[in-house]
Formats: sequence, C-alpha cells, structure tokens
Amino acid sequence: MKAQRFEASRGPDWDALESDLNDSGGSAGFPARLRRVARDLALARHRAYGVGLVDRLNDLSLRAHARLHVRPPGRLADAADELLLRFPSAVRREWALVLLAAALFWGPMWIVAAAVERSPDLALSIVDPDTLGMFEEMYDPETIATLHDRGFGGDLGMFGYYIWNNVGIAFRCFASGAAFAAPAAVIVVWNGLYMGAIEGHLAQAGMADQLGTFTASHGAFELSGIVLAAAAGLRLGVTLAAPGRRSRATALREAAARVRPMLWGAAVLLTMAAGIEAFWSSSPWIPPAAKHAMGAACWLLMAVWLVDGSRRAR
Amino acid sequence: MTAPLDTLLPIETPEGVDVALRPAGPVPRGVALGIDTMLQTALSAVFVPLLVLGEGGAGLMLVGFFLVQWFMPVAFEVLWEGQTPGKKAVGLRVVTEDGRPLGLGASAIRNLLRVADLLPGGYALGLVSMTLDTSFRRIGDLAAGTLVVHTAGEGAGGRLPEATPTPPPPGLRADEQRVLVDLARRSTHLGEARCAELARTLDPLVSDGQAVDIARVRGWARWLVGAG
Repeated sequence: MKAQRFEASRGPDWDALESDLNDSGGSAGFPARLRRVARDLALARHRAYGVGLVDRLNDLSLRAHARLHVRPPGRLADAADELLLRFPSAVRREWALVLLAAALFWGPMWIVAAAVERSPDLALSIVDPDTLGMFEEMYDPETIATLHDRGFGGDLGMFGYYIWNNVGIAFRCFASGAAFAAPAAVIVVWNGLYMGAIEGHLAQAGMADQLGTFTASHGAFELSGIVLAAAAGLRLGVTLAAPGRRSRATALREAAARVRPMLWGAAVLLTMAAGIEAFWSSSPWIPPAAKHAMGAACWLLMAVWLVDGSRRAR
Repeated sequence: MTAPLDTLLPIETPEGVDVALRPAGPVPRGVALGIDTMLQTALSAVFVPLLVLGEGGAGLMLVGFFLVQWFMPVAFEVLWEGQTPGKKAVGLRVVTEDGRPLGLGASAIRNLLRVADLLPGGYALGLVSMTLDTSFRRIGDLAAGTLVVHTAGEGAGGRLPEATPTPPPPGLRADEQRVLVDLARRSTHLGEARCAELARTLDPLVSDGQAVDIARVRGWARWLVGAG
C-alpha cells in the first residue's frame, strides 16, 4: 500500500484522535482509537512510509498515551498516609543516618557551647560581634518584658521569616545532600556550631534561662525537622556515591522515593515549629513553666508519632 | 525500531508499540530556566507592596517569596502537564520515564534537587550529570525518574528548506530517511563546501551515476516529510 493511500484511508481516524486531544474531555472511543493509531505507527514504521508521517503518528500516540495514562490527582488520604505512616517508617528505616545527622548537629553544638562558656572569645570566631550583640539584646530580660508590644503583626512577621529561612534551610540541606552527602553535612555542622556559639555566649552572659524558656517549646519540631531533612539528604548522597549492584540512576530514584516522606515530614515539623516560635514562644505573658511543659509535650507527641506510626505501618 | 542514530528514546506503551521521546539538551533547557527565573523574580516582586502593612505584611511577603522560590515550578509542572512557562515558550515538557505526566512527588523532588545540580556553582554538577547521561538527565531528574523532552512536532531541528519534492532512492530504511531529513534541515546552517562534502557521502545510495548534491537531498527530504 502506498503512503498516500494509507494516509487517505486512515487519516480521518488520526484527525479524530487529534481533536480528542485538543478537546480536554476526550470521547468514549478514545482508548480504542489510540490502539488503532499505535498500530498505524508500527505499520508506517515497518513499511518505511517516510519520516514526516512516522513523526506525526509518533507524536499523536505519545500525547494520547500521556492523556490516557494520566495519574489521578492525589487525595487527602494519601497525604495523611504519607505523614502518619510512611514518614515514621522512613525514619525508622534510615535510623542510622538519622543518628549520624543528629550527631553532626548536636555534637558540634554542645562542644562549642561548652567551649565558649569557658573561653568566651571563641564565640567571635564563629559568629560576628554584631550578631552576638543582637542576640544578647534579644534575650535581655528587659527586651523580653517589652515583647508584648510586638503584637499580632510582629508575630506574623516572624512567622513568615521562620518559614522562609528555616524551611528553606531544610530544603537546601536535603537537596545538597544529593551532591555526594558532604554539602548537607557541612550545612548541619555549621548550623550546630553557630547555635552552639550563641548558646554558650548567652549562657556565659547569664541569660541561659531566657534562652531555655524561649527555645523549649519549638525546639523539638525545629531541630528534628532540620536533622531529618539532613538525614534524607545524606541518604541520597550516600546512594549516589555507593549505589551497590544497581545503576546510579536506578539507585538514586529508589532512594529518593524512600526518603521523600521524610522531606514532607520535616517540612511539616518546621512549619509547626515556625507557628509555635512566632506566636507562642515569644509571648511574654505565657509563664516559663507552660513553655517548658509545651516543649515536653512536643517531644512526646513526636515520639508517639514516629514510634506508633512506624509500628502501624508494618 | 532500529537502534536510533540520535538521542531518541523509545518507550514501549501498553498499546504494544514503541513511541519515541525526544530528550532535550542543556541549551533549550537553559533558555527555559532563564525565562522561568525572570518570571520568579517578577512574581516575587508582586509581594513587595505587602510591606506597607508593616511587620505582618513583611511576614506574608516572606511566605510569598518562599512559595514562589520553591513551589512555582512544581505548581506549573503538576497543573500544566509538565510545562512551566519557560518550558512552554521553548517547547519542552517534563514527563516520567515512561512518557506520562508527572505527579506532585516527582516534580517536588526534581525541583528541590536543583540546589544540588547548581553545586558547586554555575550548574556544574547538573551539566556533568547531563553530559554523562544519554537522555540529558540532571541529578534532580535521575532522583525523580523524570525526563525533559521536546514537545510534539518541535525539537526535530528547525524547518526544512524549500525544494521541489522528488522521490528518494527506493528502499531507504527508516534511520537512513531520518539522516537525509536531518541533513536537509541542517544544510541551512552549514557552509556550501561542507554541504557538498556531506552530500557526496550519500553517493552509494544512488545508482544513476550522478553525484549527490545538497539540492537533491533537500528535494528528497521534502518528499519524505510530505507536503506541509
């Protein structure tokens, strides 16, 4: 059969498929039509009918294929499963890297905090003097007493800042882990050093109580969020460096699918932390005891979330 | 399908036929990224007037910056069948490795991991990954299982030059036909001497003893592609 005759006899069907594609609804005969056009493509290729015709049928089949096998939109139940079941079991599966990330974060923090308490000048080699002064002012008991002047607008302002900065750090930490793990480790260690220096500096200035009261409530969610995002990033980097008996591409894709719930979990944790930090931790009229109790409740909630979730997921 | 001479990537569909995806290289993707970056900057600027609302407005502005920076490409790719405005302008589309539209999870992964591709600067890691991979996937694409492809009809390398369609030698295989058409397309960018040199390599195809010149190749290509 000549190409022209083939085109003349089958063309109407192709045009119909094309109009199905342009019309977002599609018609009842769509799958059968796609099957016929796919067969035409195979025939046209086999009979070497010319690249113009083959390309047209190829594009048509491809678009129809994508339309027919479109992914159904995600449901709310899926999101709940991701956070309540897959997130805890991913943390459980990656426990070794979670521990490593936690050690990379809290290790330098504690060491530097203790060192700065002994020799205060050390803080200046990590944090610049202006920033240190700013933190000093922030935790000055007098400043804290005037905080209620901040009002809702001020709280909202800080909430936005925490989202933009903290969730951004978590995302960067996760993503840079894919570059052979080292950048994520650097980000975590650096944040640990930085916080440790400020902690040590404030403690030696006698403001440990104010700092403790302020950070108690949101610390659980904020610090674990960063650590979990880092652990997920480390998994990507470790997999890319040592894929085992798989191609790097396959190994990386599998690892990313496995740790994806951890990324969402970390983002949710940090968003909750931002809310607590902006609207609760800074409120001067909430007594310190309530803030510490809130902190304990958050740690407990997270333990239940992770332990119980991973148990139910099995 | 015979082994492709170019970067065409065959995927087998449930309909029992191989369709070919055309993965896109760094240059068109860079152009699309440039357009998207400009759009991101413009969209972020929309939130700046919130500053008149005081501190609360500044907070909302930062949330806006955050969403635009991390999720604008994701929203477009998920809701717009794999196309950001930049990709649409250039004629690109993100699809899964089996040619289907991508979901929220895959899109979020590939866009977040852009941070890794940017390291240590100037998209270096991404370019290395794209160079090593046969379908130009950067690290984000590898992790998400996605591909950036040319959309239908485009990407085959520009328009054919005008010529009178003439029948090509009989019995050309599909890949040979494609080479002829590609040569005709590229001939508009090549020097005359280079065109003649490349056309002469096609001498074995014809049996009439006349040397092959680029005008003949253009005529054949017109015939192969069909009027249009």
